[in-house]
Amino acid sequence: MSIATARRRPDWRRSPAAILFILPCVAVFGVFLAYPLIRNAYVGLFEWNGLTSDTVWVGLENFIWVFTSPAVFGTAVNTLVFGVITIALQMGGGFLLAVALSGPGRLRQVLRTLYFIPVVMTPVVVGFLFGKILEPNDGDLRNLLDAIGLGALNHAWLADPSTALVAVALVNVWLWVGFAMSVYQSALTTVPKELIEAARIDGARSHQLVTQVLLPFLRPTHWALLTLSVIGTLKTFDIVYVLTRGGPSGSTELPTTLLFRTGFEEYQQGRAAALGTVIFLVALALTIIQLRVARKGDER
Amino acid sequence: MFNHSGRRTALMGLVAAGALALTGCAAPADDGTVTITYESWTPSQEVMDNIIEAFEAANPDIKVEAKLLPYADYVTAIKTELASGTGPDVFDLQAGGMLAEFQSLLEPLDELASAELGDDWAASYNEDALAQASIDGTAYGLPHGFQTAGGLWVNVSLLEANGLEVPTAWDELVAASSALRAAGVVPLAIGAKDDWMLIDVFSAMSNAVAPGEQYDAMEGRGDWTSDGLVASFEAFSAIFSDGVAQDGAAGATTYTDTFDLYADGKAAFFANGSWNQDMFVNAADRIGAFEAAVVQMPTPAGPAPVIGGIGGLLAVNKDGDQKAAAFKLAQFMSSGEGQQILIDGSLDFAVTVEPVEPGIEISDNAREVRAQLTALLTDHLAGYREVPDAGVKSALGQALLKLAAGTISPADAAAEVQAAAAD
Amino acid sequence: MKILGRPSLLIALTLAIVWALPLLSLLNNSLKRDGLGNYAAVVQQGGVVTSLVNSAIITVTTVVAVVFITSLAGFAFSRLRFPLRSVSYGVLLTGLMLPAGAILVPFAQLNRSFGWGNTYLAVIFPYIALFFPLGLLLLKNAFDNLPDELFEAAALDGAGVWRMFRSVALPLVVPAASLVALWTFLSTWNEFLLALLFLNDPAVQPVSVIPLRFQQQYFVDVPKIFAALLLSQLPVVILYIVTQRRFNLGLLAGAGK
Repeated sequence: MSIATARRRPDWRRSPAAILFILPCVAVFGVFLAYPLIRNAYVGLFEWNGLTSDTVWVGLENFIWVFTSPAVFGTAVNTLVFGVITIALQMGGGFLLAVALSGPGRLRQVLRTLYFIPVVMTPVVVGFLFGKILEPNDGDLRNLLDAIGLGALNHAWLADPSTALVAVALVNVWLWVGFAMSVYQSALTTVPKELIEAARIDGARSHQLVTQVLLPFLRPTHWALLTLSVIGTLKTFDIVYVLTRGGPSGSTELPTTLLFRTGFEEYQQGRAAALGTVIFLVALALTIIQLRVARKGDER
Repeated sequence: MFNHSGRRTALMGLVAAGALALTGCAAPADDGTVTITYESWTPSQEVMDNIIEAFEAANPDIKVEAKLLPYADYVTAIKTELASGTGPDVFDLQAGGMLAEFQSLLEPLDELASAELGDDWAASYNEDALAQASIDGTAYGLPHGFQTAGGLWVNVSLLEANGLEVPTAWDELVAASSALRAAGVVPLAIGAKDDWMLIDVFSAMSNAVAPGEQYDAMEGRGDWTSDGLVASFEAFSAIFSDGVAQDGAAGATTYTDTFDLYADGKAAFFANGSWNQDMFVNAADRIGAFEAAVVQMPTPAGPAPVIGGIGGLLAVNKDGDQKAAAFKLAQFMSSGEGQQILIDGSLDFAVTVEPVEPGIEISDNAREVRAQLTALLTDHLAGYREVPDAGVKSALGQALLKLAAGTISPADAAAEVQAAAAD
Repeated sequence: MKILGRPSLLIALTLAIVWALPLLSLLNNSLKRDGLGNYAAVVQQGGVVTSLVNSAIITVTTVVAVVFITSLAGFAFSRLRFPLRSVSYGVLLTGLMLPAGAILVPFAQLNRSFGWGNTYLAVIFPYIALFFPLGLLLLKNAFDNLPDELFEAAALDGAGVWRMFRSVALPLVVPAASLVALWTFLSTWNEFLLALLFLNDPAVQPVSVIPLRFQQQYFVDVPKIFAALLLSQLPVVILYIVTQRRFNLGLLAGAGK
């Protein structure tokens, strides 16, 4: 006789209190998000300049523009490149730094703080800062290269369509590595000492310890960071806008900068809304895929 | 503050607060004073404070609250506010495409103006200035600050130090640029990341290479792909391909990358408009180190004229509650005492027929430059500055940005703009 | 605990020098032209302390609210059973990537209807709305990862749903909750667009809009912008240094996972 049939205990999982648990979120969503989401999709069906009551019904025309416009396609490609560079370097770098700087000691603490400082800085001002640093005629980078005799390496990083995107991505990495590092750092405190000691006793070299013991152990952290990073990448706007405005020649144009220009400089609010809706659906799809993949991984 | 009963109280406060918000915060107080809100990207807080002080002194029954934001944020804010019914009483717009887009939200000013200033109020305004604030003859705003764009600022001292003279022809400019580069000096500092800057330069040049054709194209009488305009795009891109512009121009902004290069004496030429005169007020010590001048931009077809535009136009919110008071502020800033205060801070030109000179002390060099600019305005004005259609302006800006970066041909640039114009 | 030895520390140190260069540039640029006068100007502008306090109030409230509502909901979606569970979870997740431009006008209208203009609520509610979906995603995932046996054991002990949440599940998701708190904190602290739009009264403005005060159309005073940034970020950095020690003292140590 199994326990389940022995006593008719009320199943705590079916508690009617569940509704109280989800009520705050649902209420916030209902009041603040539902309307904007629906309104945005609705606006996408019109041609509208965002201001006046002059609206023209255009049906799916704006959405078709999103899927057929070379400009939009360009932003997708840029997002991919930008995203891969940012996420790989940020997570990889963050992980390695967390491992290297794990442990007590003043020096480690100072270094951890140093890497974290960019994370709290406003992206707009960081954009101004690097704009000044990367300026090829009189910027700090050029002056530094000249001073150490590497002046020949000077380049108009942000003005050259072939280097601008990478430059912007690297600035983004500078900005965010400390965050990944911090997350991995606190995750590492959950690693049991015995695990590490056992591996060492087994003769594991340092790099094996890192890749074969720590890396797998932190899988949940990887997943959480990856999700945050993907969403963060899709939402990136300020740093790119200040550094390049999406130029030169659209080489750093991301969906967010294109959206901004379409809505606010071209006064095509309908198109912008359609683009926004599509971005949002893509992000949602990506998140769901990540969820599925993570679940499959757990079931292995 | 963040608890259930607090929220209920806030909701119950809805009536009073909501009514206040609906009227754009212009509810008359018990003592009969009225508060109006002003929003813009200009002037600076300091200058605005002076204006408000003077205005409130002259109008004791009106209080002004000003909100000043950087330009891009300002556009975002004003659009959001107007679309959600929380817009200010008086706000600033650029002429051209922006005015066209906002038109239906603006109060036509003839009635208010006649009531306040008399029936022939328009006569006191410079015709061009008022025209730029009007659509089809109806004024939708009062202009403030007349400016020229498309001229070339020069650091005469730097040129002389390198044994060069101020260039008047295109090949002279190219030669000078090459000599300057060899000496480690930046030739032309141009903020080629700013689409508006490129439009200014292009518009001036096109009126030398193909006089009037750009206005024809912008007003629907012509084609952007005409031979003349393609040649204009070519002349424009030569700035970058012939080594006149500084390295990395496509990544530089006027404010403050190229402005700093010029103000710190590192660039011999600087692309900017007459509003740059404010450097004599705001960066006087840096500028004092050299002699500045403004000349016509050389082009392969001869020196380019300048284009003239108003700094902005002050509009009255159609849904506002205190339009008369709002108009008073607009008029004060446009042609009243406020205009003097603005000009003292920016050194712009007056929008009124009666000239207004800066009342503050300015250097001899500043006076010379002002005379040069006045001469350009009087003798070499091609026409208005702002592109009348927002979509075309955006396309033109994008095309010029690509030309500056060297990624498309002049013919393709023309085609892109024409495509937008045909829309 | 220390995991790797000297060599990797040296590498991290060398890299740190490269990392610090932009910060030095920031410091250097903030002292250009006016020198310490830039800092004086920022302080003179007034309101630095006030805006720091405002930022703190807005951010802390938002973080606490987000962590609170998402841990409740995350637990329910993960461990409880009720009709339309998956559907409602999916619907809430649609808030994840709300397009920035889509929210401005609706939020402005809502603020106007509720009469919150120029109060903290005008931005706190929008922030909670914007940042809670991600928190929900992370916390639900954390609850999912807990071993079922824990709950079965507690059920045998006769635990009710609230005890399950409060005593069994919640303590074990502190790392995830801290991540949500950190992410929400950073997102809120640096957010300036909504603050710029909805908070006109300098008495309630947060610190994120201060650098913008030095950015006018023709007169961008970059050294002062940098000085403003340095001053406004200092408290957060100090906070980080202080909390780091608590981080390391095992505040985040899981239950021997």
